[in-house]
Amino acid sequence: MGRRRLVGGLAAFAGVGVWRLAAAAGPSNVHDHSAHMAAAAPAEVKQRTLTYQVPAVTLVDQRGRRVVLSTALDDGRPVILNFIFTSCAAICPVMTRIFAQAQAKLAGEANKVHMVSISIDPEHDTPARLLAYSQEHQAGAQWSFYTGSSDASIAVQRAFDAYRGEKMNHTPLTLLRGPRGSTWVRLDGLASPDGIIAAYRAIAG
Amino acid sequence: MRLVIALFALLLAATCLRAQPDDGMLEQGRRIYQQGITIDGRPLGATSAGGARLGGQQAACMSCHRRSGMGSREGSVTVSPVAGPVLYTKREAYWPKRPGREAQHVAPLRQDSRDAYDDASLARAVREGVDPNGRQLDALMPRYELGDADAKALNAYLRGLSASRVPGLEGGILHLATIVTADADPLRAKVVTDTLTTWSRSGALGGIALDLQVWKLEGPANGWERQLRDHHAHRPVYAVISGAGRSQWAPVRNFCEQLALPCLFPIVDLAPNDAADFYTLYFSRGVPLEAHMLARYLDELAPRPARVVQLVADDAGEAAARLLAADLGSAAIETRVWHAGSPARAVKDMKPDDVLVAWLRPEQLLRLAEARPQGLGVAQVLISAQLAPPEKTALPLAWRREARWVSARSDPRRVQGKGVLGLVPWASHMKLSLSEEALTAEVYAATYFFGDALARMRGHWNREFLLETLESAHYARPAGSAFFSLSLGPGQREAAKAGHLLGFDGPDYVQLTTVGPRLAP
Repeated sequence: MGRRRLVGGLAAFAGVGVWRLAAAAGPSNVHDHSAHMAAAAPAEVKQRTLTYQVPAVTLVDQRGRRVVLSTALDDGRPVILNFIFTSCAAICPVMTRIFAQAQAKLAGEANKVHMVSISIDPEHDTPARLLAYSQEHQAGAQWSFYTGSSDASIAVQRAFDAYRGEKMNHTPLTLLRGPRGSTWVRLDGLASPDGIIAAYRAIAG
Repeated sequence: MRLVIALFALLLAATCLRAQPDDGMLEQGRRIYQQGITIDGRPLGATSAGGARLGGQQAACMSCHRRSGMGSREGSVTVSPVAGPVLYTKREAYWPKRPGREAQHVAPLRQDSRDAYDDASLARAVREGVDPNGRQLDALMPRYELGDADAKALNAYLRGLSASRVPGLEGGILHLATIVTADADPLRAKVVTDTLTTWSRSGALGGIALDLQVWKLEGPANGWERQLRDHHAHRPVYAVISGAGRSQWAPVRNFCEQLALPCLFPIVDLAPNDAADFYTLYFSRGVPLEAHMLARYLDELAPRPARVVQLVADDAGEAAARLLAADLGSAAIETRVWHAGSPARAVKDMKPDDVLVAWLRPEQLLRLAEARPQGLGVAQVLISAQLAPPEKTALPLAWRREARWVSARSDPRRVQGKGVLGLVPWASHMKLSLSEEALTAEVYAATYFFGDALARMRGHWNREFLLETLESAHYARPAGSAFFSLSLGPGQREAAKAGHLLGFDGPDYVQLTTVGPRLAP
């Protein structure tokens, strides 16, 4: 019994070790061949289709208008959604750039989509700050930035399984949905503008 | 500790032996790093993960690697340090020396070690995203279009980044100061200086010897900057911690920003707010937050009050009243000046549907209450907790029943509850009285988060890194319980961002508690 347990333990330990090595070596091996290319390395994106219920929480947009999120997302347009905060240094500026580029690539079609960025630092991100941020990134009228109480923001993050406890722990995530329903496409990782548009075309039909 | 400092000094000496680049090149490098502007004045171009195009400020190295160059961490993304002393040094994987709480039971990642960068490998990393060992950097690191002259200037800048000697840290002693302005309330000044003096002698910073200067400013405010420069010339310090002010904090703020001196968590009623502030950090800037919270509260009141009148008596009150009037629109609020000679005259015509906002000090409120002992009988009486803390204002029963305080501070029960986990044992260890609990709690919070940041900096002492480390502290810890809610993030300089209405409740209205909604600007 004792020996069996020991062997099991060792196997488990070895398993962890192998996994860890693979995780460490995998991306490097993949990219070694392209080491001399100046192009950006493709970020790894995991795509899944999941069911989420949008909570009926009250949020405030960048123009100070109060909205109930579930109602705002059911206005007949497909939705492309992410979570950001305006003082975020590394991930969000890139995510917002990617949204801006997706907006540019959609061109005239962009106004048929509802783009949504929800602040995960709502106490700092006042509507005025969100407005300045949206203008800095040339956000069009179809792109809403939402803030609200901490509780409301956390409720939305939890509803999309995006709550990581503290804003500095957030990870890149994009969510897409057709005009209505509760089926969402979830893109974990830094999705490219083309990747977002491809997912959008698939759901918008 | 001394060994670490000695090694650091050696490293600095080695860095200094290199040929010195001229100031022009360093400035060019600084513009690339901080602003994303190339030598010929064009925005620096880059491609980031997912093919996102970045340019100029968005592409500036500082956005992610921060002003100090010490990097940052966001979720699963670790932004590596690029400050000279780290970048141009071989990095070894960290193996714990002996098993214990710190020991990691898995091997360090291969990425944790790398060879030292040199000028060529740094340029290659920035352009192609490859480290000195040929490994691909994280996809989030943009690939830059960097010219040869730009690369040279960037290398020169990075070699000097966070590589100079840190002032105020000599012979194993950390020199700190606290600042007391001439207009500060004497009790506030006493609690700040007594608490900090005791703390500085307690060895609370893990064996680092502290030397605390108390810089008392005298005379009119226009002479304070000079006094501060004289104090600092006489005894340079690493940082200014806590402090007692009132409404004239701009000279202190200017001094700290100009000398690149961290000025951490002073207790003030009114602090200036400049988007360019980097070195001055506040739990609360005082009345401005209350004014913005009240504006939102009054704007959303239903039914709308017939009239809103605000009373002011000094410069802090006037500043708050201006902000509130600007937020609400000056037509929606009437500002009146309170006079000691006729304390109730300004409220004589107030009617049951009116709202009064009082930007008054305790003694002024008491005079008003003496003149109208039965209360005002208006829709709402809203008082600034910053200027007249409820527990410091012994109002008669009718006023305790009627008045509410707009406050960014905590409900006293929460302070006491959380205090058991922080303030109370700390004060007991320091043999400090808690007769001024609210003030002591704020000084304690300043020392706690300062010590916490130093510990998390792991021997890298540069002061920009201190500010960045404080930005990512966990302000929800018990030490921060004096405030309703505290948080910071990159570039944020005021931690208090929300509050509530406090009032008296229970039999005889003596129990101070939350009586109104959560408020935010």
